[in-house]
Amino acid sequence: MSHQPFENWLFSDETIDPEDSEALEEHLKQCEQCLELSTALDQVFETISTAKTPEPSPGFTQRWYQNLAVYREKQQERRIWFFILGLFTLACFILLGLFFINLSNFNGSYVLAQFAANVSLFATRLNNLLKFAKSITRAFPILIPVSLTFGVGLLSVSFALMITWFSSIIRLYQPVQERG
Amino acid sequence: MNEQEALWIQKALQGDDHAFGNLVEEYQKPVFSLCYRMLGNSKDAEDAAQESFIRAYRYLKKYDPNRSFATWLLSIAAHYCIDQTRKRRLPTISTDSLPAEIISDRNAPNPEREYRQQEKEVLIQNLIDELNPTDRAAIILRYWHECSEVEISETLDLTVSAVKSRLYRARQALAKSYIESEKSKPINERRAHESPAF
Repeated sequence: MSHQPFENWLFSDETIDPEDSEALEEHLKQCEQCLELSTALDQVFETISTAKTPEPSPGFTQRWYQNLAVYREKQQERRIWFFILGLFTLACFILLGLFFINLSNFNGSYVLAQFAANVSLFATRLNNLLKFAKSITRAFPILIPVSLTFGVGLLSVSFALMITWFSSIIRLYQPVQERG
Repeated sequence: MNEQEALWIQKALQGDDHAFGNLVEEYQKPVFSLCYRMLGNSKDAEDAAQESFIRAYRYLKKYDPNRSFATWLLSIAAHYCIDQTRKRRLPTISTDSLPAEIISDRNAPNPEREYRQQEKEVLIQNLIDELNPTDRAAIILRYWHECSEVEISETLDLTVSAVKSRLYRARQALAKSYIESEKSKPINERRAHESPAF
């Protein structure tokens, strides 16, 4: 048995003319499947029409004022971060500008030689520092675990600070979370 | 939009939080109700309704006074709830609809009838939860908020014909799911007005 156009009439929101309505009723008397659908739809809409409207718990507006205050705080924080980031970007631009201004007086071989001299100076100083550390630890072996602990601690703190910095930058670019 | 509302909006635009607070007071019920029907539980509905009002406050400058404020507000809430529903990867079970919590008021005139009505409401809510978020929003706006197809199209940023086809599809899905859920009910469940002894 064909269920069209009856099924369309059943599920459409349009009002059907009296002739079609009669035809639908006739079809429903003969077709169990469409009758079942029609009854189910009636049941659904009867329940919807008699359903209680859920209401928020008392004090909704007060809670909204609190959330608004939180939202404003976050906005303020965001503005401060943008200001800091803006200053940082400006400083970078100024440094880059200065670099490009100096570029006109650029002498490649001189800069390279200076760089090599600086690296060797740094290596010498580092070597001296290591020698000094060795002589100290030979004289006082107890200093080895102490300096190791201090070094590891310093590295951990630096790492934690770097992670905090990165996460702050990431949070800054995320949309504002007004709640909590 | 009535004059009082227009005045509140104007004052809110000038930075008067209490004027916007009046709008929150006025529209908290329809917004919360929409969020509740979309998300299926009070906690998420409260969060979504609060967030919707914060967003409305934030974007109030973009509000077009020629448009209905209620439609604009419901549009913000509906879009937020649709996003939230899409973000949910796992289906959630509504704690509000657990049988223990829907036991009706014992002082009600007909507690059994009341209980059955609430049971049906839970069933309908579960059927609505199975619809896709946009169809769900269309059905909720049409039947709980009595919005016209044009208003729904404005609220959900859809064409009127898209709203019609979504409503058609949703009604069909609801009827079919209702039949299936009725068939899957335990046979030994006592019918209304039937004696507990039989």
